[in-house]
Amino acid sequence: MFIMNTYTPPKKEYKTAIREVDLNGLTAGGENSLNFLHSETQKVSKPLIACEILTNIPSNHPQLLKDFWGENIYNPIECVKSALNKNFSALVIRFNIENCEDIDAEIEKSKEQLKEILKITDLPLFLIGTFRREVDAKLLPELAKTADRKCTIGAVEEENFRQIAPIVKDCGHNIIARTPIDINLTKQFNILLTELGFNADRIIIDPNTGGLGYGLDYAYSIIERIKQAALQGDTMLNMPVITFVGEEAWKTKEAKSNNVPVEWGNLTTRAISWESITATSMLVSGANIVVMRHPEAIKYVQDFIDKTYG
Amino acid sequence: MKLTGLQIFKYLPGSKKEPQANCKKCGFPTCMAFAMKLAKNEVPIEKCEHITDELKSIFEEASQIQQAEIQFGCAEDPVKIGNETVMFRHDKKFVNPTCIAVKLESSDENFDEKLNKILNYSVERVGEDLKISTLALFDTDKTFEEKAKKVAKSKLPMILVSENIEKTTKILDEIKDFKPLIYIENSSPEELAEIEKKYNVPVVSSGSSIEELVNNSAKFIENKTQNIVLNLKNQSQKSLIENLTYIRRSAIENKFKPLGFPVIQFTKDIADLSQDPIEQGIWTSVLLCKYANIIVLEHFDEAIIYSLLTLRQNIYTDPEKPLQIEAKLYPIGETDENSPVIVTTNFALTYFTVVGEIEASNIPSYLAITPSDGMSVLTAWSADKFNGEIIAKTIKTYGLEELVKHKKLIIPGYVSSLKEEIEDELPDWEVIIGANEAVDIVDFLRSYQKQQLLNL
Repeated sequence: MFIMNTYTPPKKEYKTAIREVDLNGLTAGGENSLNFLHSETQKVSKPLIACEILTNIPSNHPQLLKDFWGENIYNPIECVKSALNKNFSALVIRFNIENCEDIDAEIEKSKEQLKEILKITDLPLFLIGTFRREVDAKLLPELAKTADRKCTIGAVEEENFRQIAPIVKDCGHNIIARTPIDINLTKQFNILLTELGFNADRIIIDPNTGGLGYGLDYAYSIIERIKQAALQGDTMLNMPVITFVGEEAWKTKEAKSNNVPVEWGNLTTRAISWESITATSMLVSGANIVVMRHPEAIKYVQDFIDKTYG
Repeated sequence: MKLTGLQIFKYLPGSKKEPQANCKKCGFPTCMAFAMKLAKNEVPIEKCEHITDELKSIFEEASQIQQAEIQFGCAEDPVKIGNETVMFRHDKKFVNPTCIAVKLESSDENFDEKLNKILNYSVERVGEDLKISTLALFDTDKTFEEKAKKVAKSKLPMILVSENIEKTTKILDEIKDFKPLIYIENSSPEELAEIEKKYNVPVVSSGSSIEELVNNSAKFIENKTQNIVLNLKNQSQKSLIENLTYIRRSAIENKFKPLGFPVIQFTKDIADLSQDPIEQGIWTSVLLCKYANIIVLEHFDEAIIYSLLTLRQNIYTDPEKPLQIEAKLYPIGETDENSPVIVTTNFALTYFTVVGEIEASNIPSYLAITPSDGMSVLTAWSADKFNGEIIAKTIKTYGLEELVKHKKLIIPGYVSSLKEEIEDELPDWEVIIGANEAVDIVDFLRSYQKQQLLNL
C-alpha cells in the first residue's frame, strides 16, 4: 500500500483580521487567526483579563470573594486601590445599583465614585451598568459624560442602545454590545450600531455567556461561529469578544456552597477552578477579553496566557 | 463528514425525474428510501444500477474514516476514543467524549486506597453519572505486574506505562480478556506493532514532533497495524495547542492518514507546568477542548475532576438538541395539599438544578414543568414559550387545582413580569415571585413555607 507521508502543517491564512480596539493604553483584537495559533497570525494579540469590581455587594455574594478582599470589598474606591498592586491589565467597574427607589440619587453616587476611581488609576477601564435595561438607559450616558478619558462602556442591548449609544459615541468611548447567544442577532445589532454612526472599530461583542455547567456550551459555540465568520471576511462580526466569566461562575452553587456531595471536592479549589476553567474555555473558543472576579483565579489564567503566548 | 440521505438523493434518478426513477431494482420502493439506507451504510452502494461515477467518488470520499476509533478496557464496557468527524462542535456533535485518565504509580504507598477512590468516584449531573474513565498505571517498581492484574480485575480501563517490553508482555499473557492501552517508552514502531498483533491491544506511538509521529505512523501502517494512539512528548506551552490543532486538522480536513488517529496527552509532558492541581486542571480543560482524546492527569483531586467532567459534559452535548425532559408534574418528596407549587421550563439543566435545590430544602413541593422546547427560563420567555397562557394551561392540565388547596404558584424571579399575565389567565391563583438563581431556592422555600405555616 502506498502511503502519502509528507507532512505539511495545515496552516490557514485568513485575510480578515479581528478589529483592533484601543482600550486606552492597551488594545484588544488585531489577530488574523484563531486564538493560540501563533504561526498563522501576522499580529500576535494576547487575550486580556480584566478584574471586576462591584459598587454594591449583594447579601448572597460568595464568601470566598469577601474573604479575599476583606472590608475593602464594600468600598469600591478602596477596592480599586488594593487592586492596583496586583498587576491587573484592566479593571471592570460594575455600577450594580441595587436600590431602585431613588435612581437619580444612585446615579449621582455612581458618578462621584467614578470620578474618584479615574483619579487613582490609569488602567484601562470598563464601566458596566446593572443589566437592567431602564436603569442602564439612564446610568450609562451619565457615566459616559463623567469619564474624562476614553473608557469602554456597556453593555447596551437592542432594547436600550438608542438612549445610550449616541452619548457614548459623542464622548469618544468604546461600547460593549450584548446580544442573547445568537450570531444573527449579534451581527444585526452591530449593523444597527454602525447605522447610528458608531465606529465599528470601537465596538466589542458580548455574546452573553453561561458559567461552566450552566450553559457554557452555548456561548462556546457562538464565539467559535463568530470567529469563523469574522476571519472569513464578515466585517460586521470581526470585533473583539468580551465574556463576563466571573459573574456567571460565581453565581453557581459550585462556587458558593459547602453543602454539596463530597465528590465535588474542596470548596476553594472548586470555586477557583470553576472560574478559571470557565475562562479558559472562553479563551480557546475565541474570546479576546475575559472578565473575572477572584484575583487567585486571575493569577492562574494570566499565568496560562503568559506561558502560551510566550 | 458523512453524506446525509438528502445529499445522496440529489444524485439519484428519483430526484431528476429520469425514466429509471424509483425503479425498485435495489429492493427499496423509492430512490429516497435507498438514499436514506445508504447514508446509514445499511446497503452497499452497488445495489443501485444507476449510480453515477460522480456520486460514487463523492460517497467514497465522504465515507473515508478521518480519525480511527480505538477502544480498550474489558470487552463488555470498553472506553472508546477517536472517530471524530468535525473540528467544531457547532458543525456536528462530537462523537466520543475525551477520556480523562488519572496517573497511579505501582510503587505508590497508598495504591489500594487511591485505586478505590478512582474506581468509586461517581457524581450525578443533569441526569448523567459522571465517572473517571481510565487509570494510567506507571511501572515504578517490581509490583507493576501485580498491580496491573489488580486493576484488570476491577475492569477499570487501563493504560500500561512502562519502559520494559518483557514486563508488559508478561502482564498481557496473564490478563487475556482485558485489553489495556500499551505505552512502552523508547520502543520502535516495529516492536510495538508486533505486540499489537500478538495481543490485539492498542499501542501508543510517541514522538517529540508531528513529523516524527508521521514517520512512525508510516512504519505502523507498513506493518499492517492501525490500532494506534498518537502521543506528543516534551511540549512547550506555547506550541502545544497549535500542534494538537494541526494533528486534528490534518486528520479531519485533509484526511491525512498518518495523523488519522486519536491523541493521548500526559500533563507531565507539558513544559513548565507545576504539580498544582488547579494549574493541571486549567491545562486539562484546554486539552479537552482542543484536541486531545485522552488526557492523563498527574493527580486525583475531586474538585478538579468534577470541574473537568462538567466541562466535558458541556462540550460533548449535541448542540442541535438541548437536553430536555418530559413536560409534566413532578412531585418532589412526600407532597400533600399544602405543598408549594413551583413552575419552570423543561430544559434538563433547569429541571435537575431546581429538583436538587428543592430536595436540599427538605420541603416537599410540586414542580410543574412547561413544554418549552427545552429552553431555559429566560430564553423560553424571550421566545414566547414560557408565558401566561402556557403556564396557566400547564397548571390546569396537571390538575393542580384539585391537588393543592392554597392556589399559590411560585414562578422564577427572572420572569416576575409575567405575574399579571398569569393571574389574568388563572383568576383564582396568586402568583408568588421566586428566586432568580437556583442557588437561592433553598432560602426562598424555607422562608416562604414558614410564612405559609404562620398564615394557616
